[in-house]
Amino acid sequence: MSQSKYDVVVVGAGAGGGVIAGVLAEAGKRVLLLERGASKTFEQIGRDHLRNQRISQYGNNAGPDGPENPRVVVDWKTGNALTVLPHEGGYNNNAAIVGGGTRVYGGQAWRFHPLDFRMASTYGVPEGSSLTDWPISYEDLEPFYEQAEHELGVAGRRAEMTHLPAYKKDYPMPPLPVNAQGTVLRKGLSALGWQTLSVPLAVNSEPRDGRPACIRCQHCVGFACPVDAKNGTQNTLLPRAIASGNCELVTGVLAERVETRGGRATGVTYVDAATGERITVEAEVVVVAGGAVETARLLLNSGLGNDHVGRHLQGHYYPGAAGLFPEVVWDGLGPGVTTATCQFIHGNDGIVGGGMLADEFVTLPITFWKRHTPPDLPRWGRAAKEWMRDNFRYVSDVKGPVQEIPSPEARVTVDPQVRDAWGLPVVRLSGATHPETVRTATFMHERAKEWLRAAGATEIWGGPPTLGLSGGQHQAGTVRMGDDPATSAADRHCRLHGHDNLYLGDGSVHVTNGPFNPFLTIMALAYRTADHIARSW
Amino acid sequence: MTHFPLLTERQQATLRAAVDRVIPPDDGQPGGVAAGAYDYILGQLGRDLAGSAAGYRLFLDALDAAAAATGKDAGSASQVHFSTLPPAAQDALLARFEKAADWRVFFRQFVEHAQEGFYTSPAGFELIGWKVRG
Repeated sequence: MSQSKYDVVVVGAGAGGGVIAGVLAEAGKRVLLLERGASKTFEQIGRDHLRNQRISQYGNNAGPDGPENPRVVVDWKTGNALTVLPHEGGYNNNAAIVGGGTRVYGGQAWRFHPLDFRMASTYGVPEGSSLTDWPISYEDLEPFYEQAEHELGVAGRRAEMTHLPAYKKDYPMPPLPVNAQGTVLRKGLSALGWQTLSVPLAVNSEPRDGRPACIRCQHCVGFACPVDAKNGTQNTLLPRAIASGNCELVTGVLAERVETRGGRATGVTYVDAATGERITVEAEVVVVAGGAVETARLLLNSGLGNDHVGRHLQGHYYPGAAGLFPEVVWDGLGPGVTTATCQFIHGNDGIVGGGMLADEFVTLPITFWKRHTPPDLPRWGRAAKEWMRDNFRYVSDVKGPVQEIPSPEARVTVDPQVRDAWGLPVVRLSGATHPETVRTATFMHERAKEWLRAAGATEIWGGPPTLGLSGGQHQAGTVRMGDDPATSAADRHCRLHGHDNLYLGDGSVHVTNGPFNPFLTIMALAYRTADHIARSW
Repeated sequence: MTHFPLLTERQQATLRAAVDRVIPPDDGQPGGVAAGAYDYILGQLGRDLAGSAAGYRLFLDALDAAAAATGKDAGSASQVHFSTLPPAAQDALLARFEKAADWRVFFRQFVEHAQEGFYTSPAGFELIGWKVRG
């Protein structure tokens, strides 16, 4: 780290932070980009089927790992608090690595729908929920969705996105080919007359940007790509930022506090994780993009923001079902997710919102064993072995995100006692989503079963969802945007209310989280925010 | 330097036999031990499952004690060990532990560890027909 004063300091080199750092560095601003994780190669991230974003049984391949930064999780039913490690249930981890979640995600690149931005006006406000409208619309974000799709590299077909207003430009690459499971499932959608589309993926379906096309290796979701065909900020925006000569990336550091004076951010104090050294840098503009959970923590530990900071935590309930088919549905061709329907994202009688359903990324054997076997299957012995031998290649599942109805009690606070290895109060997670979310998720669980039946599944299993706290890899909502500080924490330009040079660059600003994977919306907002920062310089 | 093995030889034999009942060898297809699931558990007991090592020792000793009791019931003169019982008798003992109030939680974890070792092994992939590409 070569200076003490920068134009912009960005905390977090993930989906949003990577975009903002890249855009502003190319616009000539001197950017310091702070990242708690490391820059890891494919080999370093590895291919351990028990240590990845899907099954983090013994560790997180994309960080964080180890005991330095635990979280406290409060059981909403009993009130009991448990301290958990990053790979353990309840921690609600995403990733801590250069590229953030985009380093290892499956890359489903969805735009939110126009109605997702006005859920309260459309459906009313369920009692006890904090459902409200965004201060901006799909139309405000549309040019930035297009920019993200083209600068990141998304494979899809605009003609199929019939649930959205017409795109101005088609995707830069066509969809990846449909595999065996997709073919079988499409027959079901056709029989039902449900809208059918290819899942837009941030994966090269043809060589692009100096990197090859996907080699169909089946290790998409949860791992790094062996040939760098999967597109994240670490292989697009971040190299551009570095190449501009205006961006310094510092890894292995944790932001401790956003420094302010008289309502203006003046810089950031951060800790070198290896040495414990504290460093304070000054900046004209500060952007916090550590993910909804850690961003809320940083603001709370800095004493910044109003009572909405940390509240309305959302992720995605993922109802679905698995089905046994009379024909082989596994053909060894990844990524696996080819086919989706937006038939039920809105306009469902008596249901607030809805969800998207899609087929699944190719499931690794141990993931299949742990998550996709029938509930009454013996867990050991000859019967278990024979079932796996006879049925693995004949089972597919469909699932998808539900638009959650936020609760103000689902929240991030900081623990009064527990500290991380550097003395900072850790995240405390408490509450649960609003029960209306579970109603919608139960409705979508039934649609998943209907789809599998129509596609020819002879046996279907998988239970309905239950109430709990949601966050995890799709975490959002904790510094939500709005025009009125009485009901929001940040303004329509993603600035923390009351601080005209302190911006948020991750999913914390989402008012609602759509029935879609959120990263493309995070990136579109980040492009819009970077544009605003550059224009108002 | 003195090395303290995680498991005694008797406990190792019991674990080996138990893993081969969780994933039994049959029809020429490898069972859990041949696939590497026993080595997997042993390795994990020295690493991520170090906290479970004491539990494993108790579990394996209890399995062996239960086996010895069946030998006594049958009027056998020589000592019966879990690892020397015929497979059907081993299965019957494991089924008892699966339901026993004191053991059912640990039993469930044990079989899950064995399956982790199996379904991350080449033999596990071959059994179900999953091939690695790229």
